[in-house]
Amino acid sequence: MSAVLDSERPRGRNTSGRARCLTMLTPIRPFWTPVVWLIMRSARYHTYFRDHSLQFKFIYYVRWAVFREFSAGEKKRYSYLFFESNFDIPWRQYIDAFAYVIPKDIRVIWGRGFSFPGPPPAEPLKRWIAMNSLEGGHYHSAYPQASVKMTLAAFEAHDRLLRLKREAAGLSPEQFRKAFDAAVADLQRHL
Amino acid sequence: MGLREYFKIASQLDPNQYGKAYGLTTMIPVLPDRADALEARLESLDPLASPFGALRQAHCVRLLVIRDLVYQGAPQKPEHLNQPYLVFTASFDGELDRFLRDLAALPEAGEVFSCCKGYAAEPGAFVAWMRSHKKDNGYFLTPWPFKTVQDVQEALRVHEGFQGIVDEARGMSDAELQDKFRALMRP
Repeated sequence: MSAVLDSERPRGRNTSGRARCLTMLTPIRPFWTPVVWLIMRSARYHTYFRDHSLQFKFIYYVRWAVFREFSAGEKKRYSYLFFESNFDIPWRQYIDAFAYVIPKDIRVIWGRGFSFPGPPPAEPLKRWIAMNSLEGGHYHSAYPQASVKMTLAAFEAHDRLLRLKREAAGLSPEQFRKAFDAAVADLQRHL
Repeated sequence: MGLREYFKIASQLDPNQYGKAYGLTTMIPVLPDRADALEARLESLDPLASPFGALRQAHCVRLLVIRDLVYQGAPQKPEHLNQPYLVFTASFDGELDRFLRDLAALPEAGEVFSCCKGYAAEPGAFVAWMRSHKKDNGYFLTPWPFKTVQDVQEALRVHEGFQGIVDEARGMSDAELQDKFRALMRP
């Protein structure tokens, strides 16, 4: 029985507990490369892409990189867009969210790629992503048990409980009970 | 994100940094006769007991072998890779060189990276070798740019523990409740 269970343990590939990873490498049309590069590099100076991408509470870490030279001596005809997202829901739901809520963002970044099916609808985009998704390998997450929502709730709770800890330093047990109940009331949304 | 955090991020000149987080992206040529072995080794690793978990500053690590590029169809002109590549990415806290030195010290790192061209085991040489294969990110993003792995794990521990105390609070005396909370919020 234990051998069966052992063989059923998830191994390799792109999931680790709740966390999963989508990786893609797609060519960019030559005239569009400087535009994509500029959009990426300017993104940290405004909140547009940040707010749009992180409105979905399922992304841990996400990155885009543009390069043409894979290694010294191997420079390609096209520049390639490397995309990696670490998230906590099935990837089809992930694509639905982006395809229907922020389709313009996706079209701006990938829209000048070859054969890119601009969303919506989401189904052709899912097929395109399935075609380009880089599978296999190994994936590690330092907190595989926690979704992004759980983690954000934990930050809120931790901040409030540190406050309770400071407040509680000189309290009697009876006074502490009142402070504790107040903290529980404040944290209802995060428990 | 507050103004202070916004300006901290906006003033970072390294495109791989985002607050305390660093996004390392590398493409490393694999020795052609080692690609199969490397791929098999990576896929045999348990993601829930990953050797890369020993990197205390790493939030997530991804390794995979790519052998060719995906042809998108006309009007793209088809093109191919000259050799297989190991894609190694990591999202971690702090400085790149420190991370790479810690990576070099992992026994499994030698096992994996020795399948790649030009691998150097000596830590200083390993750092330089990895840096030579680094690709700058255009944009790198996380909802918690100023939280370290330890911050995340501590918040999750406290959150879970507090929920347990809340569940049992009605059956405890006030003094027991206070003691339980103190134990949870240990320094």
